[in-house]
Amino acid sequence: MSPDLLATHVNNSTWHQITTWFTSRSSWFGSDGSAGVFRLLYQHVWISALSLAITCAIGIPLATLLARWRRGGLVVTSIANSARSIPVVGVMLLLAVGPIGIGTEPAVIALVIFALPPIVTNTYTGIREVDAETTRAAVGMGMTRMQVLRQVELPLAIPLIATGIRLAAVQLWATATIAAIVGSGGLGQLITVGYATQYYGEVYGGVMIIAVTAIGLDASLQGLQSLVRRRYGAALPVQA
Amino acid sequence: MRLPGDFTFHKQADPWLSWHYITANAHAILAATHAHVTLTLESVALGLLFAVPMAALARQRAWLRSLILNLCTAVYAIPSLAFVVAMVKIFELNRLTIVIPLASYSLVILVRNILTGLDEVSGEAVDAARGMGLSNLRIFLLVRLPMALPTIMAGLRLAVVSTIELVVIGGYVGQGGYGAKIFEAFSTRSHTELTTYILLTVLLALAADGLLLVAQRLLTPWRRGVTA
Repeated sequence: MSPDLLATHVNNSTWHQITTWFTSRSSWFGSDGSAGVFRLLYQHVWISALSLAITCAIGIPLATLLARWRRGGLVVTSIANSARSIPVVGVMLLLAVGPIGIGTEPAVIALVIFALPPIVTNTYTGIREVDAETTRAAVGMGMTRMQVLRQVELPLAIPLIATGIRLAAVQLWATATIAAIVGSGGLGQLITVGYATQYYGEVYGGVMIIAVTAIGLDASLQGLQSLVRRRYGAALPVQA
Repeated sequence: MRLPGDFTFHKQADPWLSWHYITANAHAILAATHAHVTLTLESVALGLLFAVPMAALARQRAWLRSLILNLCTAVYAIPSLAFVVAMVKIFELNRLTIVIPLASYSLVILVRNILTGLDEVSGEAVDAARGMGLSNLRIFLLVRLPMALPTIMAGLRLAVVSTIELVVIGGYVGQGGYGAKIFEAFSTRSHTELTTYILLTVLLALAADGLLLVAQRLLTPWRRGVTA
């Protein structure tokens, strides 16, 4: 067989595999022993949403505390810079070989660590950039520190907090794919299983589904964010 | 002396960190570092090769600008595992499997920073150059690009640091660098190897960041003292 003929043959069979994968019922609904796209999508949403909730629960209070502290800015920038250089795959594998083991837990822990920087930096900046005269006026009206935080600073920081949550959510969705390597399920499993069994119909089907959902999530959250901006006013985002 | 039936060596120490491991495996570490640095440089260089004309093109029309920026953001949203594995069937064990995805990811940072840098170039400097009779291409290469250099270098630093982190995923598809070692350590459950190469990735990123900061200072002497 000439090399050209071989190449066309391989390409045709890949196309065939992809169409077979997309049109077969078991890829969407699963068959005994293997999860279908809908089950994996559910897992993916669950892992991302759980991680996002934990990240917000840790990140937003942490950032409000740091905003009160004089050296807070230094801590925030070092968190952001060091998190950017730590390999997320490495941390997941490290947690998986450690006492935690394989499954959802190492994935969620790693995901939370890497989703913290955008939420912390944006919340921090949002609170810090509230006009000092505004907070002074609030104190002058007899508000306690807690009231100033809850009724003045946090509401004014909402546009930036929303930006942080959007950046974190998009990043979580993408990183949750990698989590399939440590056996947490999710859409990434289409890629890991397809790659391990050399079934490229499943790999490319998974790649397309993951890419479309990731880009769709990014676009829809940006739309949602422009609604928040219209409601609470515009603010410059902090990239992290 | 260990005899064939003696399995005590299975319980040999596997600490989370060991200086002895580093000295005993210095050759392997150097080779992995070399591969990691090469892949990073190739990816960022390829990204830069595309980013400069893309940024120049984006400045021509408003719709081109938003099209190019949105395209870069969309590509960046694709998870690295998906992108890299998708390349395997096309390039197999060729390094392009990892270089193309990483170059594509670097575009979002590079194009945005080059654009910002070019936007900040003062119109007066360009007018002066035009008055001296420089052609548009020469103005771009001799006036606009050097004046945009501080912002471009800041983008380059970000791109290099995040690429160093991203190269690790290449280990999943048989590419070299620290990623290969990290995945190898995972399959052999070697704690020492795993932590060593994770720390090396972080150290390499920090070193590259520092080195590029020095280069930025040297390349733009007129900006010394200005905090960028």
